[in-house]
Amino acid sequence: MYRGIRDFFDRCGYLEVDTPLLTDSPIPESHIELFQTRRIQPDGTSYPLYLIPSPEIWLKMALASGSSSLFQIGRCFRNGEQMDKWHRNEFTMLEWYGVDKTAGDNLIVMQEIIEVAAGSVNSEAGEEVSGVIRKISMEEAFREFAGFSLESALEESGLSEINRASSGYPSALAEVSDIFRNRLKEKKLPTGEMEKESAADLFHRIFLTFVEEALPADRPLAITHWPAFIPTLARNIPETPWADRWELYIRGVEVANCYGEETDEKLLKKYWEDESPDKTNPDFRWPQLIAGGMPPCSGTAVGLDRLLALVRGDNNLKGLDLFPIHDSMLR
Amino acid sequence: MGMIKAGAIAKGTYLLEKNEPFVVAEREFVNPGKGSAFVRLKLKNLRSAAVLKVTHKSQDNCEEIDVDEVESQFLYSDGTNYHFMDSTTFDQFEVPMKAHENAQYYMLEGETFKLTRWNEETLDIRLPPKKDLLVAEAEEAVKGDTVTGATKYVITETNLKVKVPIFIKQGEKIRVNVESGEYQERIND
Repeated sequence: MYRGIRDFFDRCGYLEVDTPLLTDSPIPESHIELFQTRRIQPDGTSYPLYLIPSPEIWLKMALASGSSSLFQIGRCFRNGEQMDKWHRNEFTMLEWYGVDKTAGDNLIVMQEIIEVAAGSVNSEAGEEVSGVIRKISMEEAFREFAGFSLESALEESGLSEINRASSGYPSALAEVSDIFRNRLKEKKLPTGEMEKESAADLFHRIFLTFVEEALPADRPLAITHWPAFIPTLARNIPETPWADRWELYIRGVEVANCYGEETDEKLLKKYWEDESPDKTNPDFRWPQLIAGGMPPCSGTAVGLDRLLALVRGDNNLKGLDLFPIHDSMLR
Repeated sequence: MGMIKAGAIAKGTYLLEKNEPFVVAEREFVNPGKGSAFVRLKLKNLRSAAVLKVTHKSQDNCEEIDVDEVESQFLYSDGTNYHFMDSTTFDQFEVPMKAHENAQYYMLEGETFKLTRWNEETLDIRLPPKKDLLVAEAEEAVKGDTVTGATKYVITETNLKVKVPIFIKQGEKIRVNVESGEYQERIND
């Protein structure tokens, strides 16, 4: 499968890159736990380094420095994951960036990648894996499965007119949070400590409870147009409350995530500020470097272990574990 | 009653949701990637056997039921209730069959089981993962039918209908997976 994917990108003129697994300053993502290690210098002093959760930062740097479209296949590390059916601490990710491409363009590429993957293992999997990707917007999914219009909620709170860097943003977020809370209460769902929850968490509660499980799985499915208030590096679709983003599900398993990339320096900085573990001291080197020269582009990250298991017709990642680690073995 | 973080809930954990006792039948972790980690639970109501699906954030506090485990002897069932006797105190008590219908196929009169009790109420009957049962009724295999993988149905001494390979005969013992009700192997005593 790896060879097939490399050949495919080679034919399309993408440059293959191989970037470091260790970094001193990963992209802040408040929901991803990192593996931390220490670099020990010859004089005995040391400083922290992190295993990358994805090669995103390097690939964006390369693009900002003038690279053409590029891709990488490499190991990524996420700490704090449950080692269950579809999660591992260490996995292989394909990440590619198409210069001057949109998220929509990358969905066409994704279809070809699935075909290459299925062909590489003589997959007997049917339409549910290699069928034509069905597109459904988050708004359509909410209307159909959660029973209300997400767009109306976003418009009502004013989120369709402003962006992350606007002064009215926090109060608009609070307003949309209230709408979500009421929806959850109407459905008599366990409320947890919802009063303190962010709009993104409340959104995910609704999405995971009503929408994700109900999605049709007879063909691969891409959910497009995610709410822009979920903090990501996807660009806003102008004049709308939506981000240029899709996520791909195969047989109900999340396989890929794609952004039309944010290139606006002000919004990039705001993201870094909000997501940094140390909010008083965000590392602004990256947004400056990226925004300085990053071309309009779209990037996609694909969990290759999941894709391979799915085209094989497996129901989990076990069949790909050559040397499995179990918490119980090591504790 | 203790509090437990949703992220620490495992299959088999006893929970109180909306004042009803549940056992966790399935648990799945969901990481939306760009959001907090969530746990999706499939719960079985221990009074009605109804299934409830809930999604909790890993950090949510849930109410865990502190249960007692009591060794008890299964005496008989009367069609509505199972009758048990506490092996230590010899107290006899009933457990409604409605909530634990599956148990009738895996309990033989006189056998001892661990029961999960809470405030005088029996929440759960702990069944073994596998159970050896006698075949009470089996059709004779049709002569000449040697197709590999051919199967037929038999009825066990507990009245469980099981799909088995064609060579299984009446009076033989078979091992059955209690959760799925599927045949596993023939037991030669």
